[in-house]
Amino acid sequence: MENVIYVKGLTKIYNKYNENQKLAIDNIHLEIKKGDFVSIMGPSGSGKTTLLNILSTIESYDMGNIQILDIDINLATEKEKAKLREESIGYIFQNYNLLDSLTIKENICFSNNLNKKKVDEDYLNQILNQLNITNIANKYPFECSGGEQQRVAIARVMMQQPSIIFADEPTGNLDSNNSNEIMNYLTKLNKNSVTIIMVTHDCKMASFANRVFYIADGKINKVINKDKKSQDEFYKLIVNENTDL
Amino acid sequence: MRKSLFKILLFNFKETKNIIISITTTLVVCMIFLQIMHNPYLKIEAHNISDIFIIPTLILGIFIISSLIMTYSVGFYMKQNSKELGLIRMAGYDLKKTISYYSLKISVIYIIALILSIIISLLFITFIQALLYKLVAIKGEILFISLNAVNEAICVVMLILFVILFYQLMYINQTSISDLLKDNSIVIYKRNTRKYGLQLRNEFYIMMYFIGLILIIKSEFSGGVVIPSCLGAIGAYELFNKVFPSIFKKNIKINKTNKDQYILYGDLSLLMQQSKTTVLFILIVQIVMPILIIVMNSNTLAFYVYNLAYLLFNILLSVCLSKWLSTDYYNKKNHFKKLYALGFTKSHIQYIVRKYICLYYLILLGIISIYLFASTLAILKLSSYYLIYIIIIGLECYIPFLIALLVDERRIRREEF
Repeated sequence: MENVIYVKGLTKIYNKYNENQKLAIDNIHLEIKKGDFVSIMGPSGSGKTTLLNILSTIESYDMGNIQILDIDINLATEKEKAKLREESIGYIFQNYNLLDSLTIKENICFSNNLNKKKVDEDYLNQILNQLNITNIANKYPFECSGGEQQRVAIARVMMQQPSIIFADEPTGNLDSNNSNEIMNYLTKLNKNSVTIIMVTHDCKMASFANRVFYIADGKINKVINKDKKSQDEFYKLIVNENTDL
Repeated sequence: MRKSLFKILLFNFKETKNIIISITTTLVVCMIFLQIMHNPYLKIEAHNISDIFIIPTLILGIFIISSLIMTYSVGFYMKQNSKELGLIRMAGYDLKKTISYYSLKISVIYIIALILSIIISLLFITFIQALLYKLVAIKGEILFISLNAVNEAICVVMLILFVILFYQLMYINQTSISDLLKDNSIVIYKRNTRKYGLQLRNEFYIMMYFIGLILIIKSEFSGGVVIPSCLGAIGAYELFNKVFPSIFKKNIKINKTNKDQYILYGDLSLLMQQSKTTVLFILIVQIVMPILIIVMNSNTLAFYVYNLAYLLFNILLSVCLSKWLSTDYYNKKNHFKKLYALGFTKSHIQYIVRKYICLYYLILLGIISIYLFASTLAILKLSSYYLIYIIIIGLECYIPFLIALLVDERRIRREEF
């Protein structure tokens, strides 16, 4: 299967030019294939979110090579990276990042409206139904619950129809029922060949993926594959590995 | 895109209102001043070579302070909209598209401000012209409007606004999307950590301030007084920027146990050190302009025009200072949240903030007042007749800043963090 993301020797240093230097990402190599569902786990401050941000081109890096959908990020211009974000990359934020001044429907269609793309009303209604947010479509984000806002954030990404979705602790602010629901939506998207890369602390949520990367001190320490294991078996394996680490 | 843009503008009326007020004030001040300069009935005759440079210098000064207000206002607006900026870049907008998006947004804001400022300035211009004609006993057209003055003000302010917008967007473009999406982390100004020039002792600046004062009191009051007053302005600036903050820091070390004082003086000294540019302009205007006005009292028309210029400068500077303090308060929201987490109540934090803002104004006006008092002594030596001038100048100085203080105090009372 073809690589959608290829990373070699990736390094990121925070506060590069002063005394408080911090090596956030330390010489990481990884390959992610089309249709993969990858979870990134690790303790706080280990570099999970930094890695996700760099891979989604929303943060810069200091050394290494990244190829996303055959585009070399080192050589890509600002315009090419913007095009990549517009067409192929979706990002689900832990804090939803919805605009309070727009309704739920307008938030979902934000990218389409900005880029002057016609909104497919049928597809929009299908997404609203699928995520069970039809009843809040005309409300404002501050009138919705955390679970609803996170579903809206997913709907916004679905509307964009990207080939890669990055999710930073998408269930971090939700209860277990809402978390499972969100993970089921992501699994459905993954079944439609969308590549998903998700950062999580939660072993249960990580077990929805088919590969788990363990990261500590900016390095990938271990990778475990789901292969033909059931979700429960995979979950137990993740918990065991997590305890060992 | 336009629909979303207008909706965002309308919905975030509070943020939009702030920038509209700043642009309107700047436009009104520029229109009034340029109108008086273009009025053929109010032409000031130059008596000597230095008079030729005064009017262009005043116009330049007004434009420089206008640029400062635009810089703070646009910067503050961008800070408030950093999430939107992050999301539009996330949606695939590059720098060119981002500039066109914000240009459209700022154009709408500018048009609203322009309409408001034309209405307001028409009222003021009529009133000011009528007053000036009466004061200098000229028979002129009260409703005289110079279209050139209006055009110049519109074009110059628009140019300043868009140049600053482009410059700030270019700078913000260096901020990563992930930082933009985290509120309050937008970088607008690069902090300059380099130290250059002479690093002099505090005593030197105190001496400079008092030498300026003594020279004003001792000398014969003429155009030459402007030079010692400039010396005093530099001394006053360093007093505000270095001497007082270092005294407060020493005070913190002594009163380590008093947490209120620790925060109050810590924040105040930081505030005083960071508001360098605005304070420099305020001190130069307050120390040099009153002297210039009194020196020009033989030319009645010039005297009143400079008085008007002084008042307009003070209005602009007070708006500028107020904008700067708003940005500072916005930047410190996280700091206040930490204090709240440490056990301070919201009302207590607001009380401390209000206290250090009042202290800030008090020190600034105090430094200026000493100079005004020295000038008063020097002028009264010439004739007690000038006392009324001093009172008028004092009112022109204090009223805008006291209004700014009241506005800031009220804003902090209502502000949430």
